[in-house]
Amino acid sequence: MSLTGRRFTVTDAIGIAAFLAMLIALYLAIVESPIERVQGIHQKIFYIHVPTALVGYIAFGVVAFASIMYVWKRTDRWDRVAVASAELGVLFTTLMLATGSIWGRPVWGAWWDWTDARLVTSLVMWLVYVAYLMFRSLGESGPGTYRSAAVIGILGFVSVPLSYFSIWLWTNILHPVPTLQSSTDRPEGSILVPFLFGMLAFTLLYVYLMSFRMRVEESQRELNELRAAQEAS
Amino acid sequence: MSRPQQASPPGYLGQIRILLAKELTVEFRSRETAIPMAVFAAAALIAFQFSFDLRGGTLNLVAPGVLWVAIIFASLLALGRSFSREVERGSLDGLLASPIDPGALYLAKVSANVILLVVLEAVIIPLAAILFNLQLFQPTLLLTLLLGNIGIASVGTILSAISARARAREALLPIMLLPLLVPVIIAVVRATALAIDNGPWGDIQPWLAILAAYDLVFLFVSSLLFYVTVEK
Amino acid sequence: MENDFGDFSPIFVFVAYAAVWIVFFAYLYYVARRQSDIRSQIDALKESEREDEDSAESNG
Repeated sequence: MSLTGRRFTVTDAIGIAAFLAMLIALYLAIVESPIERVQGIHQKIFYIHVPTALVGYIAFGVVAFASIMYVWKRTDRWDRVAVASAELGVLFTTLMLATGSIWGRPVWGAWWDWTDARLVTSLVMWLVYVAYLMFRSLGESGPGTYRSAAVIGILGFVSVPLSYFSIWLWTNILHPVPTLQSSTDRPEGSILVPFLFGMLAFTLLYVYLMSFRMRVEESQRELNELRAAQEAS
Repeated sequence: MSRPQQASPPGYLGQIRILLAKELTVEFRSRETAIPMAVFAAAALIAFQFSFDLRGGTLNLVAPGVLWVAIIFASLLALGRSFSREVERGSLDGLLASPIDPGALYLAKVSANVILLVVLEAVIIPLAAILFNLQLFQPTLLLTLLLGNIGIASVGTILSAISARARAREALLPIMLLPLLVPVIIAVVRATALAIDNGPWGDIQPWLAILAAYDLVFLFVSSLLFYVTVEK
Repeated sequence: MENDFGDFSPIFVFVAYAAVWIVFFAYLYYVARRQSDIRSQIDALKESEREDEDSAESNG
């Protein structure tokens, strides 16, 4: 099937919607949102930093859910969901760490700070899923590897609440507790709207990349089967 | 005349006891894990001495971390062999073909690894106390060690089973283990530091509670999921 | 403009947004490349299979 001669799919529609939403989110964050009093223009990084973080958490939640479903149902599809979501979770978390670091340099005066619990536990979470992907790439593709990967996908999920709740647990200087929960006065709509649009854009992007990445996984397994069949004959 | 065996098969705890006895017999005969672990940890302590200059004012700050890094690195020797030995000998398939509950097999392996860690610590803690002049003989430290051992063994044993059949398993085990052990490392190092400083029980207790909770969650979830990693 | 947080130049904001966009497009390109790679390998395998069958028929 060539790229030119194929039908317009739902995936394509989501892809276009994601791209448009990203553009609008960019406009809202850069042009429309107000300049924050203390951090100035640097605060605008918030509108990509927090959505990439939250979508990263969601992606790892999907890994855990798909892993449980794979252990239960043993259908190939759930394993494909798990591997695709793990890769995307690492991608989003990498961007979260990178944008956080870029934000930190002008505002905290350092790229990195080991005393901040959220920062450190997020790195741990990232490492857990890098290890997960490494395990998958080193194992031969087959049910044995998929089952073990599912167990890692379930156990590794402890790192997600560890990162998310770390700001309530111990030393937390740099990451504030979310405003909507910590204070009664609602944030100005001018901050909330660009943020929510950012969330929408990155979530759409995640869904689009998921279906794209899962299709690759499907083709990969088709290829593996063909190769195995040819070697057998 | 052969009589069919009438004795009922051992229950869950009975299975754990039998499997643990087997593990300990194998280890006692070969001594191929406990002694290398202790020697390795001692060598690590000496290497740390030259890396950090473990004397004077900063000793109590650095010592807990040094001690636990030595213990965790040494534990990799036990955890790495825990299942790869069975896979190499082909005895794992035999064990799984028997009517043994996989959860019991997991818990027996965890117990064996905890015992190996206790043996290691029985050597290395007095050694560290003598070499670095530390006040290590505190009852709270014993509890910290035990909970820490269970944490290392419960996470490490299931990852050992997962990595046993993989390529590059020597690298995979620590890559997967260390990030998942971070909560354990944080808690044991804080609790150990407090114990060495004779800190109040009220300060140590929250860290031990976190440790205990982490241990219980991992023991429970892993013993339920263990069958998934070993089934054919 | 100078304050406690250093200068307010937009360079950090620009780098952060550029990094996100570039990484996503790079990832998209990488996944698309992989997909077309795998597809062409599948096509080649199927092609060779068909040829094997054809030659087997003509020989038989």
